[in-house]
Amino acid sequence: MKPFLPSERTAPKNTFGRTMIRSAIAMGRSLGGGDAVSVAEQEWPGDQETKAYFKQGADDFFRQRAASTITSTATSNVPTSTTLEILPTVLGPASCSGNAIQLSPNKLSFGNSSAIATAEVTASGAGFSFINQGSTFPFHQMALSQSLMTPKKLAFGLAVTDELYTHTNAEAFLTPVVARNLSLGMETVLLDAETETTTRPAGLKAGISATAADTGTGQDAVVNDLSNLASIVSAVSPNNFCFIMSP
Amino acid sequence: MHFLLRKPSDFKIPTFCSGALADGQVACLGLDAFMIAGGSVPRFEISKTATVVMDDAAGPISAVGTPNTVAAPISSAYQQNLVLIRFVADIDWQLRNASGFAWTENVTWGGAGE
Repeated sequence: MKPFLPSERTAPKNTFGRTMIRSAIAMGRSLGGGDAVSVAEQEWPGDQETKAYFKQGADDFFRQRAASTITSTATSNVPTSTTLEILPTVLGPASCSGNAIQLSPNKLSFGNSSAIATAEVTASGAGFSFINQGSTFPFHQMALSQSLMTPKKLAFGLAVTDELYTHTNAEAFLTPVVARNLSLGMETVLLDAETETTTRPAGLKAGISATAADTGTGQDAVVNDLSNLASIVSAVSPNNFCFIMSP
Repeated sequence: MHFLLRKPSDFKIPTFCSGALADGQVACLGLDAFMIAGGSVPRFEISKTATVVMDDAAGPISAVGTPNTVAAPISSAYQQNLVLIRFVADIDWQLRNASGFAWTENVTWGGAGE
């Protein structure tokens, strides 16, 4: 007879994030004796991914799991970071930051590099003209700007009692706690107005003033405000943008 | 929360909610202009024996100075029978162009002051 496993009833979908949460639970429960693989096998008998995670080692596991899905981005052939594959699944499906990561076509991997240099070309209509036969051809020197991305350490820690960890359905508790706290913490930084430092990336509001809100109300105000924002962003990201709102 | 705004055409605009935005704020992010880079593998690490400073903005446990300082509150996971969980990931993001993000505040969609 199949044993009744409360965690199976509430378990999230099989994702990298689930594997990581389960591995953390198994590691925590096994520190008092036994080993994490045994704990995982006993707790989630049908979960091959979590067992494989322990047997292969984290790096090998995610390298193998992610290799078939990540090869390129819209702007470069740098493979997508495994972190960026996993993080949205840890943040959960409702996470604004998790969705922004997933939707961005510009996902890059640091690999073994300490920095990634990115270039932006300022759009210009110069260098384009109709010319007569034999006339000199226009050549435009592009305006390029370079910026540097460097690994910033995202750190998140919490403490729970051993009783909560060992004697309850820790997965049902831990998954949403990690998802909500991590997601809100990340978005607090993502959506603030602080400039970049060596420790943290710039908030998206840094150096960008608020657009004046429409003074009307109701549906007209909704349409006008969204249109105003979209028209600004469409200049550099036409047909590929998202809205973010306070709940 | 995640929903889609739909124009009369089949153009869908993903829309998300975030508690990190103050009431009445709305933002628009150009995804083509949003670059994000990550390291290899994020890690969950567990300890039942570590001693940590229990603070949202924790400093070192102790620091040399005049006088020497000790942070508080310090907790021993071993002594208090706690499980400490930490998550580490290398990540960075950037806007390729300042026009890639726009935001507004004090919207009055439901009437003034909402």
